[in-house]
Amino acid sequence: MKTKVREYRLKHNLTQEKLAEMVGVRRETIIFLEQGKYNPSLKLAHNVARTLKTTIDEIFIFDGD
Amino acid sequence: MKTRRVLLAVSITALIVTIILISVRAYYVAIALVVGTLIIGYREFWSLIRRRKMPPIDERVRENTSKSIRNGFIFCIIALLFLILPFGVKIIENPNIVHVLAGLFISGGTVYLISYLFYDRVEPRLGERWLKILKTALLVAGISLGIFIKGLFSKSL
Repeated sequence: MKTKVREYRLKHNLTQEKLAEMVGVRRETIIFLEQGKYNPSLKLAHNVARTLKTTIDEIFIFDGD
Repeated sequence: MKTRRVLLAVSITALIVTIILISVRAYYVAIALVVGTLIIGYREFWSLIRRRKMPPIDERVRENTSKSIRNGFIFCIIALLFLILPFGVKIIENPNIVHVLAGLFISGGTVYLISYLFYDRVEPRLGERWLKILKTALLVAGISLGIFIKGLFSKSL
């Protein structure tokens, strides 16, 4: 899975710590999300997308697509 | 541990059981219980000391915690089966219930901790091939350690 979480986070001038706080997860979870090493639940993906003012399919790109 | 209330409940229960264990002079078990509780709650205790607030419990942490608890539980069941044997067939010389319980608390906590660190830090960083190698190595190391420990307490043949 590829993600654009880092790109959108930087666009909004957010640190990993701040984004983690806004979404209600640990910083490590954001790190693994950005590296595409963690498959988030639909709820978490939705929360991240909403926080970054975008859509799920814009920031999470699945390899099968 | 989800909330401060749960952490407090676990800590108070552990404290009461520790006092009871000390009063019946089961010092090894009491120490093991304290160490085991510290091992299981180290993230929460550390966060409370450093930031004075509980760490956020997200889905990844919940997943890792439940997998680690499952591993600890499976370990305790297998260890108990092996520990019950000595009392019946005398594989171990003079089995001492205090030492056995102390060992169980410590090793159960250690299995939980290693499992958590593995799922939380190691697994996401490794590729599939290295993960397989590491899992095999851990399995071999675990079996070897088990046989070594059993050897320490067993009657010499």
